[in-house]
Amino acid sequence: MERQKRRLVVPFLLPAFAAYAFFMLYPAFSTFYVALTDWNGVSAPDFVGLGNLTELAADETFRSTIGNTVTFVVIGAMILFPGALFFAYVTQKLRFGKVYRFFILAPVVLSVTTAALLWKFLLNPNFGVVGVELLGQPSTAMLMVVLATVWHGIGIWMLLFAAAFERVPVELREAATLDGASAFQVFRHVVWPLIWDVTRTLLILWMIQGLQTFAFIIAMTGGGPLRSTEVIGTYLYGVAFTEGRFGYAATIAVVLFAAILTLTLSVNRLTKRESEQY
Amino acid sequence: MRVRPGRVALHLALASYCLTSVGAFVWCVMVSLKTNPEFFSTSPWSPPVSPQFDNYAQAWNTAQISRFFANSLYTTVTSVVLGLLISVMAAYVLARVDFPGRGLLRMVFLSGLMMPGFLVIVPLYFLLRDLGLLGTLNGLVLVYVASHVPFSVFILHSFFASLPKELEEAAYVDGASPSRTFFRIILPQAMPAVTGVALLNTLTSWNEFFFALVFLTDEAAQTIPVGILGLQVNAQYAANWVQLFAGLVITMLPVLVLFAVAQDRIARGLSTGALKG
Repeated sequence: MERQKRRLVVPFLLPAFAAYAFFMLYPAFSTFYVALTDWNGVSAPDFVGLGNLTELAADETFRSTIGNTVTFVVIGAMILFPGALFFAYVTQKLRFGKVYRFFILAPVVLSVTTAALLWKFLLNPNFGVVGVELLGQPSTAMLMVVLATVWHGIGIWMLLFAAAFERVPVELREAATLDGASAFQVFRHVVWPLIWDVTRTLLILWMIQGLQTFAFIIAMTGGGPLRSTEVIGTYLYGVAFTEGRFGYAATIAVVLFAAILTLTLSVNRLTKRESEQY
Repeated sequence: MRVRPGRVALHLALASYCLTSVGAFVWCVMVSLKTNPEFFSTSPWSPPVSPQFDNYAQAWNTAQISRFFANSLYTTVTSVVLGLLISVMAAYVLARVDFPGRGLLRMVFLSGLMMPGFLVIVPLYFLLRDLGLLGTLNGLVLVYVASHVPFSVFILHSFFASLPKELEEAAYVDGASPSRTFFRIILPQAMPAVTGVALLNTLTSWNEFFFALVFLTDEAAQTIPVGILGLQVNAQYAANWVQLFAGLVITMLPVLVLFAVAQDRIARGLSTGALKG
């Protein structure tokens, strides 16, 4: 039977491997080569070695986009995580909890551009619901983009935390309550240590996603005003498809990829605790 | 039953948050039923004087929403079906057939989970251009199929690995060929996992923005997420906002219906999918 089954290997594997290798693997590897060249997409690529990298290191705009991207990730985490934790925790055994969850999750099904445009209009000082200019001001624009992004996605994070809470044994919580612990103390000393592993994973996931943020910026601000919401993703896009500097764009892609890998590994190492036993 | 003030505050907080998502939808629908002058002159929260259902007809016909719809539908269905077909076969072989190099191939497929779109975008753009597929839906379909492969193989592989060996052995004893065994016996067993992955890939494709924005250079071949962005720019020039909002509502509806119908499934699927990092 095993010998017979081996005849399936090539015909069953080939289509998936071919598609994946041709349209994902090969482009991913070429990016590393393109990053070493100066290329306008028309004439032949001009090999410059690490020249793009030196230029990038001195690129003021790139530096400010890094700052903006980090701001996005940090402020986003500060709103998203407490929010998702709170929603997941209080809706567990609450009356109408399921209904609340449904509405908190609902925006997720909107396409990113729809959600972004909705917010853009809601925040429009002329015909929106807020009479002040919030998206057009460098000081508040990024916060608005973060709020829209969190509003759109928070339902998923809430569900993930809810799934983690369900795995905490009820007896433990009951025992703590019987010992006279307040609801908050139960959360802080019983539940929180037990869901720490999930929280770590989600933090890393948020970082990976947040560093690549793109759609909400494009749809809401286009990177403005005064580049105050320009992030790495939108900068890369502009350098490649507006300026036509494909070698330089590939370098940004490689640097971003390296940053994501490094951050993921180091956060993973830093937040590792002795895993709590149930 | 005592009324506890803490409880009441909690309900108030949750309800008012939920009102933001309900409010956003309601606001959108209300604007879509106004006339343009009405939209500019009345308060955002005032209901339409006489509902303009014509805005919907206009958005569907003249603003090309129907075309974006058809494009999104074609791209999503084709890429999900093709992607699943090839991923299911690959996942089965990787999980159930022992052959030299299997471990390495698994690693190669899994590494795709760590390949973000921006890492492939530049070479992919030129690859599609050289193939004459830039600006075509079929080019985008091929990219979607390829980008679905790692995740689909990953989930389905773990499913196939957990199936009991007896299924295949019984079929073998009955004299069924391996491929027949797979399509007739194994695949029906795997349907729950396949449906879950299909739902997730459908959501992903339907809402995919980055590749669609870069590769769909021709307005005639744009999917909904990119199309409504262009529509917004046009609305700015023509001051035809109500039509844009009607378009937004139209594009929201099918997904909302799907979501209401399959809420639990999608919620479960999303949590699997979101954890794929």
